[in-house]
Amino acid sequence: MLNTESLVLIEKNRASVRIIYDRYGGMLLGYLFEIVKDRNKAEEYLVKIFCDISQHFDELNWNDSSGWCQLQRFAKNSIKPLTGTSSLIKNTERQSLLNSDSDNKYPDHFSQEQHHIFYGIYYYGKSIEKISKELNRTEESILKTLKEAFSIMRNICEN
Amino acid sequence: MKINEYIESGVLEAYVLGSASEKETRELLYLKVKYPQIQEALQHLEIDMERIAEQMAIIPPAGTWSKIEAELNELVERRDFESTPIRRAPNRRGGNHRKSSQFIEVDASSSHMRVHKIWRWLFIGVFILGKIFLGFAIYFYLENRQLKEEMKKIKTQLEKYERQHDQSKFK
Repeated sequence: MLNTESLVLIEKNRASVRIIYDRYGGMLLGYLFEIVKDRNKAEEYLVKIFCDISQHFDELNWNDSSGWCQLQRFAKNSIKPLTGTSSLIKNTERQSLLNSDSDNKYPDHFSQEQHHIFYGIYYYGKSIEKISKELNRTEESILKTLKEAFSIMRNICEN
Repeated sequence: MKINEYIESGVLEAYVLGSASEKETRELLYLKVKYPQIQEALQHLEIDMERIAEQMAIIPPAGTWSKIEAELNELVERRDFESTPIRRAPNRRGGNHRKSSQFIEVDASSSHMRVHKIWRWLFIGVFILGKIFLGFAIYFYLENRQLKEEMKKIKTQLEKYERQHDQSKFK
């Protein structure tokens, strides 16, 4: 149940949340779609995340780092209870790792390993430790591959 | 510490993606204050992340914000409704009343009423006084009845004596 402070926050921050929605709503929907591979489900999660943001708006430090990075981290934690135990995420993860059918152009430029690492961390919230165990590699080499994946994406963006 | 090596290690990328461990995060937050190069590299990465996300963005359907607003309104309304005094369940025993509560709360949907604690003692006092008055009333009623009966007896006797006296007079 909501406490009075949360309600005051909801009312107070409605305009600010609208600004965040206008700025990042599309990016967040694209991010969520990559996780669940279902537009309706992604929209449903988007609504839930923005409602959560309204209640916890002041806890997020919007000035300290990029708004998108804050939002992406918040979204990851917010949908974890919804997707964490469901088989949906495991199926979409498997599907995404085997064959990307979205408009996302980055996977074409990734090696299988880069794809596995980037998707595992960015979309499915896996820790470096977990991926290093999955791939039987050191954490240092996982971080290096992640950096390579970033460089590839940066180059694509710049071109 | 070799700053370039640290920047190249991939820890910054892990932090930006939210998968750095607590120890790594603490270290990074400390180092970024100390070394402006790290702060700069981090800002570049965050800009890259934003650009990547922009490329993968999907324009939300037209009614999505309305759904968010409706959900927020529902949360506020639900809370308002729950916090209204008439929604509170009446306490039959009256043991959990807040001591500071000075008001009578009436639950429109219930046949019960909650009143200030002081009324309990007033009701007890009125009840005891009522019992005392009732006792007196019964006592005086019985006494009065007895007196009436005695008076009736005396009256009868008196009439009898008067009659006897009149008879003896005529004789």
